[in-house]
Amino acid sequence: MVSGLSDNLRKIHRIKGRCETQNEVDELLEKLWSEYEERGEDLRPDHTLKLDIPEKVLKKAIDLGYLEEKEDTLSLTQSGYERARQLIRSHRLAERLLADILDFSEDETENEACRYEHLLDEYAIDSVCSLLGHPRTCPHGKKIPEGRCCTEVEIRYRPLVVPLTELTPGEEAEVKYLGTVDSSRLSHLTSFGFTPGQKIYLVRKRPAYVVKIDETMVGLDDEIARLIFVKPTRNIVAKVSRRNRFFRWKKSER
Amino acid sequence: MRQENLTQETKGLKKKKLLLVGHANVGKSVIFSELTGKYVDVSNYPGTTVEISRGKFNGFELIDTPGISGVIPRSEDEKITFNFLANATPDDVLIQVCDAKNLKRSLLVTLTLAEARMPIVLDLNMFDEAEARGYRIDIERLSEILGIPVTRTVAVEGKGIEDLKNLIESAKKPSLSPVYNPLIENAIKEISSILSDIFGDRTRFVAVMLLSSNLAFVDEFLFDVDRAKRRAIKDIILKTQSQLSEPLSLVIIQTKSELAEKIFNEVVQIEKQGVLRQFRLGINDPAFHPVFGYFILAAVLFLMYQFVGKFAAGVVVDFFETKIFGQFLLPWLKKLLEGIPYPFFRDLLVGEYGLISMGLTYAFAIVFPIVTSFFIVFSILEDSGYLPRLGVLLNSTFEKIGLNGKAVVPMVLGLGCGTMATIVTRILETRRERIIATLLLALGIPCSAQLGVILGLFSAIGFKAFVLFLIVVGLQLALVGYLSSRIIPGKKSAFLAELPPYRMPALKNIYLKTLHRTKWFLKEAVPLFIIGTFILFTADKLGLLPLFTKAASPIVTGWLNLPEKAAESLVLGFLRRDYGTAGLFVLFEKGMMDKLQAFVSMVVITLFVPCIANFLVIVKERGVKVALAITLFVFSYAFFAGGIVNFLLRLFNVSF
Repeated sequence: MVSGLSDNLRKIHRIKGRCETQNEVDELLEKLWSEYEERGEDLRPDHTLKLDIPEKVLKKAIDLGYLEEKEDTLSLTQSGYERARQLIRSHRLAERLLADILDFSEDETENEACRYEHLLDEYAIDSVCSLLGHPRTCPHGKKIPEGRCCTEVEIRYRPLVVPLTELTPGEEAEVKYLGTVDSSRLSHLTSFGFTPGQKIYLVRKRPAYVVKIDETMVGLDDEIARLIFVKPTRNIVAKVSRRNRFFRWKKSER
Repeated sequence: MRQENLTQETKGLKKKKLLLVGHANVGKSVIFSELTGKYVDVSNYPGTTVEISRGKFNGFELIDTPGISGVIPRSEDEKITFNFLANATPDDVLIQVCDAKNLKRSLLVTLTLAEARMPIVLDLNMFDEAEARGYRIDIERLSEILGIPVTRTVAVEGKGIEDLKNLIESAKKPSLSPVYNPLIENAIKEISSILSDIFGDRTRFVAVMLLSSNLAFVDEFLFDVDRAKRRAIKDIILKTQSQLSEPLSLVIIQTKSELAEKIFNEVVQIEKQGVLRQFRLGINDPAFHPVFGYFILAAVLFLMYQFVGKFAAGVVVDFFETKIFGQFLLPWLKKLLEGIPYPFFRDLLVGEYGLISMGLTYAFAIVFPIVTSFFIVFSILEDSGYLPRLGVLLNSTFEKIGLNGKAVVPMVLGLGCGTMATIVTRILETRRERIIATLLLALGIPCSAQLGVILGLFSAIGFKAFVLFLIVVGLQLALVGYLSSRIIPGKKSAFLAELPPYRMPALKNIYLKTLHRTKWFLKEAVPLFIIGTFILFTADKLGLLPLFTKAASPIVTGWLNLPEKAAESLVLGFLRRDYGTAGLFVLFEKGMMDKLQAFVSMVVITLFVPCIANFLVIVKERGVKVALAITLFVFSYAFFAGGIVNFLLRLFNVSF
């Protein structure tokens, strides 16, 4: 049914295995955030830090541009601050997702969430955040740092894979899977080039859908368009105008 | 067409065959013409060929097959092609014609054909279009990978045809064939062991096709195979599917398309520029803009009205009818025949219902010029690539009457000839759609000859009346279509159709097509015109005509408010609607009907019964029962609607 999806899940599991030993720097940044939070302070980019950490990790953090060493003082850079914020945000949103939607136990949630935070990029996390309705706190009651999707309320994010019907004319996308088991329909669709991995271009939606696949122009109706699941090439968000009625898709820089 | 006929058509041939196969609208028919010198209809939309054409080439029987759209047949016309492939003999050769700019999906078909283990030549047609779009195809490498000869042509210009001819002798069985996952390979082996004595070398092809289709198709395709064997095959399919997490057909298609993609990437280089320009053109195409699209449609109709209605039906018909026939030919003939002592014979030729003075005059002076001009316009439309785009524009409208945008092609073709269009309804996917389309064609789509005469008549009544006429007939089609989509059981199929690029219609093809169709019109229509005239003549001589007109007068004069003589034209309408229309045209010309009566008579004759040829084709395609039901319904509906229109026009005191 949702062919192609299982592939992605497998991929996720493979990466997860590697995650535990990965990136002590990320762990360090998260720890910093949590410590300040517990003291009731906000972590700031210019804070002077007193750290007791292995030399190797420190050097790597400086190489990555997260920490800065001037004379004897060690401080957090702007990009280090943002990285920490994003990690915490990812972690806590992942916890929400796992606990609220997927019904994981508390232990499992903690374990999984620390893996997910390295896995998902900003756009994916914003999608999760939108999906969950921009939660303010994690299951443990800690504050989730706001993302762009929370502050700019008029921006809407789409799921990563959407039916063709969700695209806007002029958009390019990649076919991910076909939502049908009807063999003659599958054969028909693939003969026009609707195969997983194929790039397509939506020309128009009205009066019927017109799609360009390589050099083939195809006309199709809503019924067929709903079966074709695609991943838009560019991450696109919808901006709702003040009247809250009309959509305007805007390209986000990634 | 029934399955039995199909297999008879495909099996019972001894001579070695050369099959032209490939996607729809890639130019198989052009190549057929080039190889055989025989004319076949060629247009710029998928589905022009719905019947096979046969010709001779170098000791082969050359066969032009309907285009296919995938690895299993979807509609009646595709079944014909798949049956040919499954029942081919070892001596047969395939020419796969493909659209060079769509090589990737063509390779998908090549890989399917490779499973049929037949010698193949691959022809990359429309090579000029591919180059213009920045595609560089390494033909030698492609030939090496596939293990078959590959060539390129621009068939409409005759380029590369000689090379293709020379390559046919060296056709080879492809060395490359997709390998599926072990489960599927195993299933193929099991099915092969059941079917190998029937299909021989074609067994793998058939097995893969069955595995990628559904169970109902197994019964349909193997209808003459032992039931136990079919059961066994279905069990194999079910068992294999249960072991896979994804649909069997998808796994098979994916294997093929991955291989096709790999080959494509190896042999094709794309220069970016061309691609981008294409995109922009596509978006701004006004033909399927929800607003401008209708303006374009209106403009097309208006130009047609001007050319066919004003020019051909006005100027040219006037010239032929009054000058050539009226002032010159007929008086001269009458004089010549004065010497004949038998008045009966004289009347038969040049009397009121004379075969020449009425039959041939109607045919040559009125209908012929109109039909020819219509065919010219129609050929241009067909070749431009506009029709499939009209399908996009009208899809949602058609959905309301149980059809979809794909049905635009047979419907518009119906404006050419209802008989031809009824055959083309084969491209529709469900029986229900085919019946609805056939019904609407029989009911309210005037054929070219009739439409031409109608246009001629309305150019005398006025453009406003013509628009009203279009609305009235359109409403009838919408109403009947809507009701029948409610009544006739079955499902609507989804709309998915290829839109070929716009192409400049080639003068040569328009000339050939018009010539061919005009010839066909003369051969088919003129004899019927003569027969119809003869019937009227006989009835007149036997004194039956007044009796008949009197008997019909309650309806004709009472219900429709038409002159009694209009009944004669309606009799002619039974033979051919255009003949009946021409009769009414003459009545109006002679001042025996006023504008309002002419309007009503046009509505009635437009909705009138299909002509004999069309009726016979409906019987052949849909069966006697459906044909009779359609005819009976259409006949009563024509009078019913005509009467209502007459009543309303008079009630609201409409004048033109």
